[in-house]
Amino acid sequence: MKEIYLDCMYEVCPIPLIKASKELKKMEIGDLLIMKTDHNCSITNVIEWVEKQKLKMDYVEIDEGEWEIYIEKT
Amino acid sequence: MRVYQKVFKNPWSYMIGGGILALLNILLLAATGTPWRVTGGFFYWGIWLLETFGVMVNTDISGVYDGLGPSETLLFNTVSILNLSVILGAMLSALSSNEFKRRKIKNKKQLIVGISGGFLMGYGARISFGCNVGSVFSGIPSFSLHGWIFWIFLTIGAYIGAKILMKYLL
Amino acid sequence: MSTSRIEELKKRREMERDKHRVDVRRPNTQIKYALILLGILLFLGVLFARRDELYLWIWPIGILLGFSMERSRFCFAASLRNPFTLGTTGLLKAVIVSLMISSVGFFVLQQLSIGGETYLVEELPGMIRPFGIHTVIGGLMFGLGMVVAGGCASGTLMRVGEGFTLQIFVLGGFIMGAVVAGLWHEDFWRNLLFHGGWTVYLPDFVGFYPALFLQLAILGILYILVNQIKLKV
Repeated sequence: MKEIYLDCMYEVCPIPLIKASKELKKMEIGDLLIMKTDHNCSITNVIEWVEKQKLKMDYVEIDEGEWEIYIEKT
Repeated sequence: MRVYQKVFKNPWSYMIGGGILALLNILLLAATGTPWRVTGGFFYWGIWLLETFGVMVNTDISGVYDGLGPSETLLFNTVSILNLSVILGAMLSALSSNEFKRRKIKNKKQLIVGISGGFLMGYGARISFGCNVGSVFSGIPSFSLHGWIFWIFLTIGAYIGAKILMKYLL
Repeated sequence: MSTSRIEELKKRREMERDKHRVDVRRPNTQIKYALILLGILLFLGVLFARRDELYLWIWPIGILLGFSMERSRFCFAASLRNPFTLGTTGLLKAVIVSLMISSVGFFVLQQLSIGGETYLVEELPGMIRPFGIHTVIGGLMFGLGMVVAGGCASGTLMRVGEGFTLQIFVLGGFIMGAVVAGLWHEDFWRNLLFHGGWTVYLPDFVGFYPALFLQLAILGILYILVNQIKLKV
């Protein structure tokens, strides 16, 4: 039930999602990944990818052009 | 308020985006006689910069002006203005959805890789008479074989680039 | 799509955020800048249109192109990169569909521009260019460059508009590359091509309607293939 924090601010896409997918592989079921990113195409990328992987996710826009994404490994 | 959410705040789907871009390209071709292209404008800006800063005054660049129309200059021509309008259109979209943000450069490595990538793109686009927009987006619908060939090798290049990205840049 | 734990987190974060927000009553602070920009764009549009009628079309269409790209996060580079790095193909499918639509539209425009029986390929509307070794090398360079730089030509323009400082430098590199190739290396490449390359206008070889249907069929098959293939990441 760990919470893993991934800071991907100022990274060019696709780096945020590749980093996330690597982390998720290492995580156990029940762990939560929290990603911070400012790249809007990462959001759409993540949604598409997560749907494929059949994981659970949601995101919050915490500021203008900044988002926090929550992905739970189920 | 809901309309605002739907049109300006929520992102559009890829398919809708692709469809709109296609229709706009067709409209552009119908109205102006040339479809969407990008890299030509960058070339002109580069030449303008060279001229302004007095570099390479010995090189014969008169040939560059052949492509320009009678009332056009290096900065003010159809391609350059089109590029400018695309930048500003994207800016308008970001502002209207509250997503504009001055995103800084993360580190030197990112900068060097970015500039190198840009250089490769500019060089590759110039020698093949078009970039992803001019050759693929406008070339393939024009039924020109060069567009297909460019697209194929673009894909191969992207594959190699992706491998490099995963190995060295992560 | 979310679990209860995620929803909890999300609610908590949203409350945190709204507490810290300076102006909770008007969260959409950038709208006013958007309106100011819109005003500037209208003003410039009128200015440009007076110089040449062509800009009456180019200016709004360009703005809409940039707007639509940004709204739909349409990045051509990602359409070719994501299948290899993430295994996702949504963008690539959208690109294929987009090409199908444009093919039909361009076909119609080309047909309308052909007066009688004969036509000159050079005078047809659209981008018809010769291909050769330069296309191969150019494609490889561009493909590699766009993936490592984080965007293609249109994507770079889009991201400059979104505020990415990096993309401004990418644009600088782009300009440099184009000038080096177009100015100093131009003779090298021109000499490399035999007869200036081959210009192949597909309808010349198979006829108009066959070319259209062939192209649409190939794109359609590509779509189906992309849809089915599960790329291993």
